Amino acid sequence: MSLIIENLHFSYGNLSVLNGISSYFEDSTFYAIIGPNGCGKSTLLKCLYGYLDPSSGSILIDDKNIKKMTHKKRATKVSYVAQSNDTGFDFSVKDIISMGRNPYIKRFASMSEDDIHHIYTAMDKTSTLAFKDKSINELSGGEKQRAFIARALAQDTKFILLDEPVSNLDINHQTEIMNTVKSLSKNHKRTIICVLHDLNLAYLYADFVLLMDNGKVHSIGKPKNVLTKENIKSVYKTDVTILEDRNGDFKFIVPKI
Amino acid sequence: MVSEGKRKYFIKYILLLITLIAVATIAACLGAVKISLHETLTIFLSKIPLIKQLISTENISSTTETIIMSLRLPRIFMAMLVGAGLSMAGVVFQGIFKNPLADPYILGISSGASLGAALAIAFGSQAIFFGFGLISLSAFLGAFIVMFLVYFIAKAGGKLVTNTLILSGVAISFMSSSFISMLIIASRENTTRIVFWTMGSLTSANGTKILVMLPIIAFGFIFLLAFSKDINILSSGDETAVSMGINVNKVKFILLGITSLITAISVAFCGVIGFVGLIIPHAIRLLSGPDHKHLIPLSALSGAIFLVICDTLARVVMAPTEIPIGAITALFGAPFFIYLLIKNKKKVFI
Repeated sequence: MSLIIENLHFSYGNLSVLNGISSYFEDSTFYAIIGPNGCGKSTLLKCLYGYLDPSSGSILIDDKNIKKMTHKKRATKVSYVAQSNDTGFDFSVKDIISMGRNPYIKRFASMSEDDIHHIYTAMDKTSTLAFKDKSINELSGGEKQRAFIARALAQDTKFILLDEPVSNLDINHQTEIMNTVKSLSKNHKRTIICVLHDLNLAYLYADFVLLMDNGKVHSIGKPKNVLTKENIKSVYKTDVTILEDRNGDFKFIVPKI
Repeated sequence: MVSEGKRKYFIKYILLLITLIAVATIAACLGAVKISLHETLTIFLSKIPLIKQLISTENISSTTETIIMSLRLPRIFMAMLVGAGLSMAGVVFQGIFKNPLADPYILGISSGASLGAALAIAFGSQAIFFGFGLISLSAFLGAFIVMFLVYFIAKAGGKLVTNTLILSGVAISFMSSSFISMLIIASRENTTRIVFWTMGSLTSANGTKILVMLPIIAFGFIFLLAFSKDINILSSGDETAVSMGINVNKVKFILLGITSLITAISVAFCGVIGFVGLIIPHAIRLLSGPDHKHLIPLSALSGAIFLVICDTLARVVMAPTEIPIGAITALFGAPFFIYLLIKNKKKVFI
């Protein structure tokens, strides 16, 4: 399966946010999308799963334009974990995760064995089984995020989009969530497209980094080739030092203050 | 585990159904003329095919039968339909707006209907069209005009934004209320009738109205139930709902259309009966959880029971004077709801 974006443009009224984005996303790979606030990262994700309608350009999954797919069909290809998740009512964790099966269930039908299997597998992979009967509103920030990732996983899509999944979490929960997401791409053949703010997390986890600036792709490639002093200076207007360990396989980006 | 959950709901449905029948039977006995339970049951059973051969109605006067069949029973049925309709409309409005204050009247449907009714009262005659009073027709028209106005104002920006929908509903509501105030001043001799109409009443219930309402409520119920999964998912927000395959704009349009129709017909026939569509959904959510698959039918049943009780109280408490049912619903419903709120400290809305 492949995901191809061709010359994507999007604007909110007169404000153009995406100014011609083209890219290709490979199978079973972890992509991090980075870039300054307001550069169009979240807008790009929202176009990718069909919430926003690009003003021109196209998004193709397996050579099929997602615009031509029904909502349900599209939801079997791409799932999405929002930046802030509304939980509304007092649903249990299992209820929330079960909602991920919606694209596969007909209007009056109830869940099949297969649906239930997917739900339990998703809970198992995200370690949410232990609190499946708790109310979603009783969970901590990290547990909640795991439940939402489980929902996306239950949706059983090739592509999983995440919008800053760890920005409100402590270092322990950050690593836990990022490890879970990483294992999905590495061991379960999902393609992860994840908006991140933390350059170091992008460095640590991503196979490829897509650096955005002003609604365009500034550069795309392996983290070590994209996250350079020069690129960061040009996009973020910030001087950084990149610390390296002796072997050169670990880097840490610190701003100069 | 699954079957245990199903049994739990099954018991709730059975209990509510039994309560509904019991409440309706008792309601039929009460009123200006007291009719014994035995007489009421005999009349009921004599109308049921197969059983009726076994029932003798010799001891029952025709007056008693007329009171039950032509006066009380239509009213009881009407109360059931309106109670069920407003409650399920309330559930859905709260579900898609994710606003605890949402009720069937939040989009200004009631004020549109009131304005229509007030116009008919002030200028109209007692004209009857196809068995409906001019007041009902005018109220229904008012409700529909407001519905479309509010919808098109909210839709103006392209996407259907719920907050804009609520705010334009509030704005249109206030406008209609101003017109009603002016009408009341301009046509003083009709003031009492206008005010009483807006407080709601089931006095005018009759067979024709029930025949019009029944299919709307029944089909409305089936449609809303068909969308119960969608409403559950909508509570995660529009963005997330789209990612799970919900065509948010289409679903909201359909749901608002059905609930508005149910509300409009209820208000047109019975005036503005407040509180039931606000409180019953909350109460059932507290007692039975947020899953709309059960929330909708349980609320419909409970709303029916609640309104039959309220209407009976409205008839009986100060008989022969009738208390407006709108006053009763809040007076007796509010304490019960406050009790539920304190007892269940669970959060209904986050």
